Amino acid sequence: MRHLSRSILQYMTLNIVILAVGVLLIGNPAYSADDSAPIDLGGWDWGAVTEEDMTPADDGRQQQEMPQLPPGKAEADYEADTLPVKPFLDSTPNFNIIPAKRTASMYPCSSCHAWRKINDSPRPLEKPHNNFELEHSLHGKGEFWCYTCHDLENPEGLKDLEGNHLTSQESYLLCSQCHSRQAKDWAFGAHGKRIGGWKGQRTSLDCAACHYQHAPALKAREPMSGPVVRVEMQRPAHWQSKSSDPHKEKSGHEQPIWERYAIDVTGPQDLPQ
Amino acid sequence: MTDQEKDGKKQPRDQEFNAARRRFFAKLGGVAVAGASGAAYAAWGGHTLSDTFADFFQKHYRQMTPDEVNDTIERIKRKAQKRYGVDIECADTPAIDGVVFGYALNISKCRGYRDCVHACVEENNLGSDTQYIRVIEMDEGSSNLHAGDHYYDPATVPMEGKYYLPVSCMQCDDPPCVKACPIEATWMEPDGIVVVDYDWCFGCRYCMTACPYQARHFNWGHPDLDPEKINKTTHYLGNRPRPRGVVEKCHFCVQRTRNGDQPACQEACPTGARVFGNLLDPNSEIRYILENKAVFRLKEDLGTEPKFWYFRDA
Repeated sequence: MRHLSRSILQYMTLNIVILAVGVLLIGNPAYSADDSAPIDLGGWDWGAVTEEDMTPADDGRQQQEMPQLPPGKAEADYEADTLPVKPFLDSTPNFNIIPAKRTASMYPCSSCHAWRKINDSPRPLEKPHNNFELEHSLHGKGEFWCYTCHDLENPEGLKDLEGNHLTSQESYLLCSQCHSRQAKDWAFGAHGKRIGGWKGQRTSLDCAACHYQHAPALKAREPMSGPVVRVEMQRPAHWQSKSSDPHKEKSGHEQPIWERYAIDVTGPQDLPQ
Repeated sequence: MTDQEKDGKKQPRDQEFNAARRRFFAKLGGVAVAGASGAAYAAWGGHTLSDTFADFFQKHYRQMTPDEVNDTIERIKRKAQKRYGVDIECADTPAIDGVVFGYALNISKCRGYRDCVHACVEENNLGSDTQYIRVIEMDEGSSNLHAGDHYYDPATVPMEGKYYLPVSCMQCDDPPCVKACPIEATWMEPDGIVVVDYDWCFGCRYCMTACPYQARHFNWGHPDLDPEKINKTTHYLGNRPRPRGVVEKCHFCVQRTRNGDQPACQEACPTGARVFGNLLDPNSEIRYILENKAVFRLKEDLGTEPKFWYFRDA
């Protein structure tokens, strides 16, 4: 009886150990069967990091494709946020900027890298950065890397090509290193968006207000509704709406304007003929 | 012609005359009753008799004394309250000295979203028929306006091989619409904005045919405004609710720009393609663009001297 209970105990213990090892192997995303090649762990044990941990709960960037500053705000409302621009040309005019507050999807970096070592070797972006959108034409294709622009010791901070430390509010100094033509146009007001009135000193949005830093090309978008058909101006024969937006239907596209305001020229109908 | 045929034609005509006479006397009776009650309310479209008379004898805007302008503005407010049930503010801010407004638009950056079009509609109390800005979808490399399409409605813009050309009033310095107007109801203000006195205009639409940019629009009906969405900050020469049967046009948001604000289209543009400013200020952005960029204007060969320039990056 004692032998029997001991063998049952041993059998159960063995089972528990096998199960635990199996759970560890399958549950760890680094060793899951879906991945053909294991990722470079950078010499660090990731432990039981799940997909949920790697996917940001609220991707605020998706809601911030365009400048979020409400139109019509008076200049005074921006005073707390405005900064004088730092001269970066031979003759930079004086103007103010509103630094963008747009951040990347996994911002801040220190939420993980405060306790996880940074792997600074240039490599294709894999887990857990595989959700990270990086479409800066040369960046991430072996030519440029996170630490071309970011400071290795302080990943949220910036560093220009000469090694000078920059804050995120000075990102235009970083962009202007390569995009000098756009930077010059921006400095003189031919690029970028002026905020507030047309009078007096200019207040402009900075680069990252319109261009997401890591994927700066603007995204295609559905247009708003077009004009109604005017007298003697017909829609071209090939025209057809490809829009799925129902609000466009009531914009008067369908009925020509002269029909809607047509006056009954036959006169009152109650008269005997 | 037989007598029968004559009778057959004569009889309805008599009846029609009698019916018209009945209607006339009925109206006369209505006026008499309303006049007797002292209000004359229904007979004058909901306005008082004195307002109706004052509307009829209202002068041209530029010939009014300040008191007459104030009286007119008070009447405009009462009319808006009557028609839409909203209390609007109506200013007659004059042009600022030393300011001539100009506009520059970067066609490399315009992506055809039409945000400016709808910001303009909301700002200027336009009915659903009217849009001051037309964004024309053009073939890349072409400047043929007749081949452009302003009804474009694809799933997403910009389309491959197209560029977008927003066209509104060019605020010409030698405006053909002003020359065409037989009663000087439209003129150029000292700050370069071509405006319309909506109460002086009688809707002949000569200016619309004279304009080479199709920038003038006719109010076929009373603008169908949603009272909750009416912009209450208005200007006499700008976005006040217009009467039926008059011509209107873009006025560079005179109610905003004369107070130092940007036009609504510039504020709404999400790409920063639009640059507005004072042409007489040598440090303004628009002067930098005119001096350093390859700019062009639409239909320059007509000699209308638009104050609206287009430019490209590079």
